[in-house]
Amino acid sequence: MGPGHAAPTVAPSGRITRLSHPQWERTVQDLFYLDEPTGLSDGLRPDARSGGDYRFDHHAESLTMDEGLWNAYLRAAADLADRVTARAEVLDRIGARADRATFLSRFAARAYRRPPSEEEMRELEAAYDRGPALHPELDGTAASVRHLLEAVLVSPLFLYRVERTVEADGGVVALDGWEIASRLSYALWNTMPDDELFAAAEDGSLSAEAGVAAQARRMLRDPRAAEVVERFHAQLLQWSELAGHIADFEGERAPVGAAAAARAEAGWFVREVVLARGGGLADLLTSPVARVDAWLADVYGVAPPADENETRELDPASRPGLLTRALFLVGFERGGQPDIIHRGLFVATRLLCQTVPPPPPDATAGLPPPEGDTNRERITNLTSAELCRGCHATVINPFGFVFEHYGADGRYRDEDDGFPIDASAVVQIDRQLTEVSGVGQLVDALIESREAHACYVRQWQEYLHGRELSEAEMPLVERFGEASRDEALSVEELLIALVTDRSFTARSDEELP
Amino acid sequence: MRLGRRLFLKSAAGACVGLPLLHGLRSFAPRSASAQASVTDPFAIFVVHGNGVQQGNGAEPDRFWPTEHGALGPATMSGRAVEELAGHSGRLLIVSGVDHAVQDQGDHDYGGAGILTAQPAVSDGPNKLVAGESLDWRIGRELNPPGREPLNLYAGFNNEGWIGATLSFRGPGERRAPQRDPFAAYQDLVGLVGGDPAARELLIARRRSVNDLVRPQLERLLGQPRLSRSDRQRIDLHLSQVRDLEQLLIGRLTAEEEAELEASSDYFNEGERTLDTAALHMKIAALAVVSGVSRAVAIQVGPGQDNTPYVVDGQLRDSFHYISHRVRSDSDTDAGGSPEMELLHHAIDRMFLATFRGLVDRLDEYGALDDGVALWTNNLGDGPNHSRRNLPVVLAGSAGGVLRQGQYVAADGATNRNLLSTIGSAVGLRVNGGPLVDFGHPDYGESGLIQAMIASEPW
Repeated sequence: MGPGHAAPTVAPSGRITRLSHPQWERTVQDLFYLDEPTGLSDGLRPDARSGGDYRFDHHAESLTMDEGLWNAYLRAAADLADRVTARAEVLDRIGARADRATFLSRFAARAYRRPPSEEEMRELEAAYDRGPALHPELDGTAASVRHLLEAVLVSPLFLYRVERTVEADGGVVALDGWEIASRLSYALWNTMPDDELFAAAEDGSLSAEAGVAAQARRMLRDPRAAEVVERFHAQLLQWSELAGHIADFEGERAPVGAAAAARAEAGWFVREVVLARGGGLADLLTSPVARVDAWLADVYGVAPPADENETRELDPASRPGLLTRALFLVGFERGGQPDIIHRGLFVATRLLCQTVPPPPPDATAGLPPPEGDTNRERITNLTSAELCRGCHATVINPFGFVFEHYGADGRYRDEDDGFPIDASAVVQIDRQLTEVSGVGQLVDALIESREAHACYVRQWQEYLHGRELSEAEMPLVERFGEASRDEALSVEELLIALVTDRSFTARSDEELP
Repeated sequence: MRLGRRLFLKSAAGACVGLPLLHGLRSFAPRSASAQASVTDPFAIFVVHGNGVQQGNGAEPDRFWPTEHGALGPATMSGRAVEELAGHSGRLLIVSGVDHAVQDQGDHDYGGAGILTAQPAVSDGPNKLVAGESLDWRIGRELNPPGREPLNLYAGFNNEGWIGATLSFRGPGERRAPQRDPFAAYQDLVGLVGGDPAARELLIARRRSVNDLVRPQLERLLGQPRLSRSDRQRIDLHLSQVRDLEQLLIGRLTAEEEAELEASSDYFNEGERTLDTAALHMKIAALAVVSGVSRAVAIQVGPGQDNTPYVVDGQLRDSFHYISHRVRSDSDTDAGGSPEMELLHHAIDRMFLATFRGLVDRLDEYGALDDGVALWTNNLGDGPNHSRRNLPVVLAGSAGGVLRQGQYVAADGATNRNLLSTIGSAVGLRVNGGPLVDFGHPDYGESGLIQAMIASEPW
C-alpha cells in the first residue's frame, strides 16, 4: 500500500467552513490556554440536522450563520473577553502585556490560524486603539485588549476555517502549510493547531507527506485525538440515542445509572482497543476486553469487580467486540424484547453502509397482530406483509436474528420464554448470501468482508472531511478498505494514511456548486 | 454561571428603564372606527405540533372539532378540544377538510417539513428536507424590515438525532435551525434596552467598532476568486446579519416575566417542560410582532415525532408518540384500540390548545389580535393512522378583517397549499398586485385560496 503513489482522489469541497459548536468550545479553550472548557457554547443555538445520511455533527454545508447564532456569538465573545481580561495569568499566556505589534501579530496568527496580512493588522490595530474609549471602566492596556479580544472572537477569520489557496496544477490545488495545519487539527483534535503544528506550517515541513505523517503521529498520542476517536464512534454507532433509550427505563428494566455505565464502557472500549492496543476494525468487532461495574459484570456473566470498575477479558466466543456490549444490546430493545429490526438495521447501515429505503408511507397501517411463541417468530410475522418482506425478510431481519442469544437485558440466553433460541440467518454481505448462526459467525463474516472494511474507511473519510463521500474518493476507500482487511490496518495507521493522502492535503480545482 | 446573562439583567434592571412595560398596557393609539390602517402590521404566527389530534377517523369518535359547521359558540365547542378557546370563539376561524398537498412521502419524517412548505421531500432519512421555502420565510423575506429574518422558535427536548426541528426552510433543502432558549430569543430581540444615555452610547459604539472589523473581512471573503455558490451564500447571509445595535422593541416584558425567561435557560431542553417553554416562546412571538421586528413567527412545539412524556392530570405519561398510536412500545401493534389512550390524546390536545390560548390572550391584551393571525395546527391529521388528511386548522385573528371570524367552515378538497396561500395573502403577500394563490409546489394539489375562509379581499 502506498498512499502517495496512487492517482490523486481529490474531491470538490467548500473553502469556508464555520466551526461547529464543539469545535468552537475547544478552540476557545486552546486559544487562551485554559485548563477547562468555558461552557459558553451552551449559549450557541444548536444547528439543524442536515438531512440525508451524513452521521456526524460537523457537516460543512449545514453549518450556517443566522441572526440567532450571530447574536449568540456576539454575546459569547463579550462574555469571554470579560473573563479573559479579568485573569492576569491568561493575559500573560497570550502575550497581552507585550507591545501592541508583538501581541497583535502573535495573537492574530493563532486566532486566524495563519499570519495576518498587513490590511488585517491595520484593522486589529484600529480596534485595539479604540479600546480605551469603549471601556472607560478599564485601564489603558486592559481596555485595548478587552475590545480587541471581543472583535477577534467574532471575526469571520476566527469563526470560519478559510482556505484561500486557489492556484491549481493538473486540476489539483495544493493547500499551503497553514491550511493543512488547520485541516489536521480540526480532523484529529476538533480544535485549532497547537504551537508545534503552527511551527510545522511555518517551516514548510507540512508540504511533504513525511512532515504531515510525523505531525499526525504526534497528534494521535494527544488526549484530544482520543476524544475524536471516541466521538467518531459515538456518532457513527448512535451511542447517545441508545443511552437515551436506556435512561428512559432505568429503575424498571435496568438499574439506575445503567445508561451512563453502558455509555462509559463503550467509550472506554474504543479508546482501549484503538489507542492503547493499536487495534483496527477487526479488533473493535472481536476484542473481548471490557471494563465492568457490578451491573455490567452481571450482564456479561463474570464475577463482580472488587472496586467500582475493573478491566476484564470476557469470553471471546460469546462476547466478541462492540456488538455484544450492553449499550448496543440493551439500547436496542423495545418493550422488554430484543429489537431485532433495529439491531438488524444497524448492522446493515452502520457497519456495511448498505442502503435500506424507509418504510413505504402506509406500511404501518393494518399490520398483522404479532403472533408467535418467540420474539423471532413475532417479528417475522409482523413484517410478513408483501409491502414489508422485500427489505425485512432479506436484509434487515436476518442481521437482527443473529443477536437473539442476547436478551433485552443484554444477558446471554439459550431460551426465549421456554423455547430454544434460533440465531441462524442468511445475511447479505459483499452481495452474497452467507449463512451464519450467532454473533460470532456474523462478526467473522464481517471482518472477512470487503464491504465492512470499506464502510468503516468511508465513514472516517466523511468524518475527516465534514462532507459526504464523492465518487472521486471511491478508489481511495476501496484501497484502504482492502488494507484494513488484508493487512489488519490499525485505526491509527488508517488515519495517518487518510490525512497524508492527496485528498486531504489538496483540494479539487472544481468547487462545490 | 452565564456572565453574559447577568450583565444583561444588570444593564436592564440597573437602568431606569427607558422602554415601557407592555404587559397589560395599551401603549398604542386607539384605532378609529373607520381606520383602515392597523396599529400593528399584519402578521402570522404559526404554532405547530406533531403526532396528529384525536379526531373521528372511523374507528374513534371525534373529540377535536366543533360539533357542526357554522357559527362558533359554547354549544358547538363544548366537550371538544377546541373548547379550550371558547372564550375567544368570536375571533376564531376553524377549518376542516385541509389535507397535506404532498401525500406520498411519509408521515413523521415528512409531515413537519411539509406543513409550512407544501413542498415534496428532497432527501431521505428520518427528518426530510423539502424542495422549497416555508411560508414564514416567505413572509419574512418579503415583508420584514430589511435583513431581518422571521423568528423561528422551538419548544421541547433536543431530538436532532431523529426528528427534531422540522418547520422552517430558507429554500430548497435549507432547513433553518430554530432558537430554543427563550431567554436567548428575548435577548436577541431586546438588543439595546433602556439604560442611561452614556451606557447606551457605549454599547452602540462597541458594536459599531466590532462591525468595523467584521464587515470588511466578510466583504473580502466574498471577493475571493472562484468562490463556490454555497460558500458565497453562507457569507452573504452572515453579512446581512451584521448591523448596528438598535432598539427593536417598543416595550418590555415585566420583571417577573424576564426572571421567568432567565430561569427557562435551565430547563428549555427538558421534554417535561415543553409547554412551559412554548408559553414563553409565545410571549416573545407576540412581542416581536407588535414591535414590528418580524411579520412572521414559526413555533414548533415538541419534536417532529413527538415522543415527549407529557404530564396529564398530574401524572407523567408515556411517550406521546406511543399514545398517539395507541400502543405501549414500537413493537406493540395491538390493533384493538384503546379508549384510555384516546382520552389521553384528547387531554393532550386540550393542553396544547390551552397553551395556545395564552398566545391569543396576549395578542388580545396588546390590542393586536385583529391585526394578524395565529394559526394552530399539526404536522399530521389524526393519531393512530398518522393520516395526512383533515389537518387540524385553528386560526385566531382576522388579519385586518380579511379572515372570517367566529366560524367553523369546511374546505373539502383543499390542501395546505391553499391554506398557506390564503394566510400569506391575508397578511400582505402579493403577486402582481393580486393575492398569493400558488404557494407550495405546482405539482402537488391545486392552487387558489380557500374562499370559505375569506371575509374581505383587500387585494
